[in-house]
Amino acid sequence: MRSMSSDMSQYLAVFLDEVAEQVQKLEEGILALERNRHDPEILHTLFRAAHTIKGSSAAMGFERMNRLTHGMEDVLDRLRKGEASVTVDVVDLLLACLDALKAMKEEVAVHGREVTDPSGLISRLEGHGHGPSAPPGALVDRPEGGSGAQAIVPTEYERRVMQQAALHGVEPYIVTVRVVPGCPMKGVRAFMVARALEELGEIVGSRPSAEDLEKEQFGDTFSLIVLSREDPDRLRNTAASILDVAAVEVAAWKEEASHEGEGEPPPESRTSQEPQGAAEGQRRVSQTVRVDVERLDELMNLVGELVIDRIRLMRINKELAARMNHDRLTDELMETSRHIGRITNELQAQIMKARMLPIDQLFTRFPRMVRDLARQAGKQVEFLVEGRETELDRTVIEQISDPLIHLLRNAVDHGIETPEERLKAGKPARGVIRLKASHEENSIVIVVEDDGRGIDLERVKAKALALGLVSEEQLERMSDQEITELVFLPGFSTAERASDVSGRGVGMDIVRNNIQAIGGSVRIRTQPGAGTRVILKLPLTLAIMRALLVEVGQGTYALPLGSVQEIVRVRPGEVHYVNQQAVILLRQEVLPVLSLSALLGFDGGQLPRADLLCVVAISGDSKLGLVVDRLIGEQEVVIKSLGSYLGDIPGISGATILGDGRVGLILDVGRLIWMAADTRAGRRRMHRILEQTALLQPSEEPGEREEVGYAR
Amino acid sequence: MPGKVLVVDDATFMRAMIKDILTANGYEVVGEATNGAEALVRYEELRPDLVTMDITMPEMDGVTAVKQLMSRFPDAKVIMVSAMGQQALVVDAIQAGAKDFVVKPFDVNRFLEAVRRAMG
Repeated sequence: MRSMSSDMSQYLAVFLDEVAEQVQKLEEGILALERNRHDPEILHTLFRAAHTIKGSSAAMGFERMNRLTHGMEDVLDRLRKGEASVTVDVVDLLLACLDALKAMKEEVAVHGREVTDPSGLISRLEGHGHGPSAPPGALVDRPEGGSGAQAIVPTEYERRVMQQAALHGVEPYIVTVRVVPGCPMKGVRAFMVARALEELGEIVGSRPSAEDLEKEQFGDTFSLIVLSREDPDRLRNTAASILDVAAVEVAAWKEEASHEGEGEPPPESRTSQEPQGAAEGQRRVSQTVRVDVERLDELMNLVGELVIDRIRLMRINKELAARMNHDRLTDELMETSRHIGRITNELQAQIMKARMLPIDQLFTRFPRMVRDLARQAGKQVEFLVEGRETELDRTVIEQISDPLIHLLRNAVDHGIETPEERLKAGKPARGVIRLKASHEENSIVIVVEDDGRGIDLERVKAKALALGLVSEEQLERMSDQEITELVFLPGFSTAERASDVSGRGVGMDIVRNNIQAIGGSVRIRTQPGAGTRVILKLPLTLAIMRALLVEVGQGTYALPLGSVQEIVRVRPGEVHYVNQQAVILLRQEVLPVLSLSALLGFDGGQLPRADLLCVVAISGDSKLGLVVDRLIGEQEVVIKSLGSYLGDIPGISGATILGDGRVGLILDVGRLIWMAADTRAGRRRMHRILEQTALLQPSEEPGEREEVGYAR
Repeated sequence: MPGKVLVVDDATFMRAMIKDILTANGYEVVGEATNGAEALVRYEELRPDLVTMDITMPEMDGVTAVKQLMSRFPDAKVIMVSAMGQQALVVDAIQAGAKDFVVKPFDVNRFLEAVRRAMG
């Protein structure tokens, strides 16, 4: 009897959803509480959230969760009654409880039972309160959202009755009741509430209908239209006195109120179980279905295959048309394949849309993290989040989580100064960190910005020299921006804790790698004393991208279109050598030029004395001219992972299947540019790796590879 | 505020369990009955503060018992102990004057809460 009884298990999913929702409320509330320690609304919200979990965990038989939330509720109750004050310790304790709750929730989801022992936390909670006091359920709160009353749209009959009542001095009320999720026989509970209220007035309507209430055709909430001379508190307490009632809201009905509510769905509208449709007096069939993410992934993969085949089809079609001299059949084939092409595009766009999630999913995790980091570091930080609603592919969201954590950690640890330093510098003691997401053409831009000390360029230089990452001469030629970007160099920040070195550092190379690996870019702007801004530009999806296909030797390579600035033809006389580095002048700008074949380790890098085809590749603010043998054209490529047996190959971010069925490698332009700066080492590495990738190109024997280079 | 309880159930196991829970929480189980008719006799004799009443019982079911009990003792406090699927019977009992109900298999806290509220 103590554990979850069999009739409860069917409510488990609903229960877990609800706990997740309440835990999120708790988290937001606790963090808000720290900023506004005397805001009674926040305390009420927190109390309600703890209370709701307490009630439902009891119903589900999760005794530890119940005890813990009971303890939290006690402390919160004392806080809201002013019997105790909000201190940093209390906030920490509440956050610790929150972590335990999250852990238990996971345990319940995975193992079906709680593992975490909350006893320690409970005794700490009791230290702050007087221990569990009020009987559970004695304190009844309002249903969250509070908009239940407004959600009711009265029928013509109900409206008339209410108007009449109001004329005779009898108040029309909307009583919205939320029962403990998963409580047994909630229909009978609804009946009991109605019966109790009928002693105080007259019930003229309900949402859902009386019949549906009886059949238990409702979520956890229902509303009754009550005409009564009693005051609202009396109604509220009466309804609340019924067992399993988790929350009650009594709102006086106003004619206009019912209209305002229509445009503004209550916050719970995301959960389909909520009886929104019931507000119209009849059940509305849900317009959404839940789909397993894996299915979407699979669908995307299939569309990817379709895209490949579409490209192949077009190619075969072209060849055929040329051979058959454009007869009626090939023309029809052409038309059909064009149509398939359009449909495939549309399909792809639709699936991409279905995979989009608001970035809020990710962003909600950060306020807590920043708060904890700031507290550890003894700093005061105001954390602002903008653009939570920005949507992007869920795989992208997964990929940027770590980089963002790095960036925020850096902003707190190295960007924002201590309050004393800030005051000395004439800034407010509290620093500001801003996290912003926005949509920009075909990409998503995420900005992490702080108003801290900025990056000290002199120290970056000194460190880069000390680590042997650059030479004095190189430094002299570098712009401030280029020096700033040195923090992205591998090894720059891993050598020691960077906290004393610069405003940025830890793991920046990891950040850049992660972002570039998904076809994004990172830029960094800093102003000493005023702050640092890191700008991430991300693709909307990871599955498919537009690329420029080029040929080098016998291999075909794909350059993400985002990193191609232009293509130029260079005459032999236009190539100059500076420090043995070939360069060309492109609109008064000196552009280093390298043969892709050399960069990939196929030959020594001598440029042929002939007209050169040069792709100007760009990553961040760095540019490089890549000399290729032939341009194939621009097309969509479906990105395939290289697979774990090849591991991480510098300069190559993935593979794709070409129209003729061969494998093409997708170039990682950012990495290539860095490798170009370190050509010799890079070439050796690449050569080794490309020997392995020969596995991918069965048409080539490894032995033939020596002949692949074109400039020996 | 502890009180005296009469436990009515035809299943020995249920009576024993309810008795254990109540006793462990400071209530005094003053008597037991195995059907509705017996419950009426015991109530008159013991005048308990609360009755826990099973619904499905031989001879006289719980709902009939509540109806008769309430007509003779309008102040009687009864909690129905229902099996799943007996919504209609529970509603009947509550209309007849039962204070509350629990559904088997029930959660101990939930049961105690119902007892506490019915007594209060």
